[in-house]
Amino acid sequence: MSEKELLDENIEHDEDCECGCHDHDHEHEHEHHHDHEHHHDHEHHHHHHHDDDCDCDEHEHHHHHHHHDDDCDCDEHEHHHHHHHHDDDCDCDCDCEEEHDHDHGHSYEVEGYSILETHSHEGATICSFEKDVKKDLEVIKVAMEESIKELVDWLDSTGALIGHVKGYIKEAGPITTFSTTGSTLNIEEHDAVGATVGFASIVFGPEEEELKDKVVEVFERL
Amino acid sequence: MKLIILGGFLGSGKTSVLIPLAKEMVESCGGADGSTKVAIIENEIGQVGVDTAFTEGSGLYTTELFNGCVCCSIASSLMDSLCKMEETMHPEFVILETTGLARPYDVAEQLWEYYDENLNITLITVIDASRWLRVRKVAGALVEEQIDHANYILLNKIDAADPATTDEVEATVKELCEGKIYRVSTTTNPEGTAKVCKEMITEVNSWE
Repeated sequence: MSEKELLDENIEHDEDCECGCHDHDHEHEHEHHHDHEHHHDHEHHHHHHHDDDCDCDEHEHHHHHHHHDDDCDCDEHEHHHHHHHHDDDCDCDCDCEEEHDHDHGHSYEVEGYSILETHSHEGATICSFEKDVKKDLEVIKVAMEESIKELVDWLDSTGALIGHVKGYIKEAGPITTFSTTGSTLNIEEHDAVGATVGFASIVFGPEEEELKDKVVEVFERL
Repeated sequence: MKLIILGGFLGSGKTSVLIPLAKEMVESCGGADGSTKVAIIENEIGQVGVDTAFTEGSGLYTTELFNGCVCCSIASSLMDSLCKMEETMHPEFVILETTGLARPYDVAEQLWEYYDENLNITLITVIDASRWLRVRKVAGALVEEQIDHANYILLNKIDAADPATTDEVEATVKELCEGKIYRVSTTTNPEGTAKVCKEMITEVNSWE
């Protein structure tokens, strides 16, 4: 979806929607309601907190917060909230087959990646990853720069709005190991090659799968 | 304990404000010895925390809250972190850097309701003056609610925006929020940013 389409959708939503709410995605908790004056008149937020007596039938897969009080007999910390997450009985209308994490994101198992995941939140699509790369640091820096530029060019070409695209390279440093069986303590220094690369992109426009595929494609050179 | 909620849309420059803000807090707590009196909570929405790479090396105690937004899905984790900090560190200041998709006032309301109704909370929202008007067209409700009830608004990146745009952003923000507005550029004028941070911290300290 291009920025223009996002804009059109936003306008249409504002005009037609009785609540005037922006496009809450399904992970948004329903205790987190706003009043919908959009603050043009400096109205304050109205929060609706579900409690044990709540009989609302809002999105079933939303998180319900249970605020602990003096009568609470659970053994958790007094101010904890209990979150209800997706489970086997979840009847939300999500048709994905990927693992649901607690924010209804998606984790992917792709060779070379220790973490590769996507989320949708507030109309934005999030994709982040972490991977260890066993290459020379300068090679990794160049590859990182080229990959990010390619991704940004692609996002621009689709008309997406870039929230931010960020990354880091954390060089693997020397490792000192200690070992003993009781008599002698052996201390050894080891060189470490490569780096850990972290990356996160939050954009408005592409779908999760589409963004994930593009991220994997452009970072192939790492 | 005073909590500063540092909010603002993605790419507005929150992390660039965080460091000078934390330094001014350390100064106000007695210089180098005050570093243990300032703590940072970094909230990032993805599983991979990238912003912490920018704050590492600051020498400040930093807690990371990944994989969700503190204004909704991981609000309880925030309360756990604050509770732990209060018990173990007794900090004078805690800075919570929210995700760029969070609504700072919602976080404050949840903390007042569920954590401590007397918690001293200051809301600072950073705005990228060069693209706020464009972002507002796509995510208007979100960016407007991000400045809701803010005590301070930092119009950042004024070096990248033409003066007329900055004036328009400021005028629009003034209609939406009664907070004090500062114009800054964290990259081209770090001294000016530090001065603004000092002024804010001095004022926050005077509110007790």
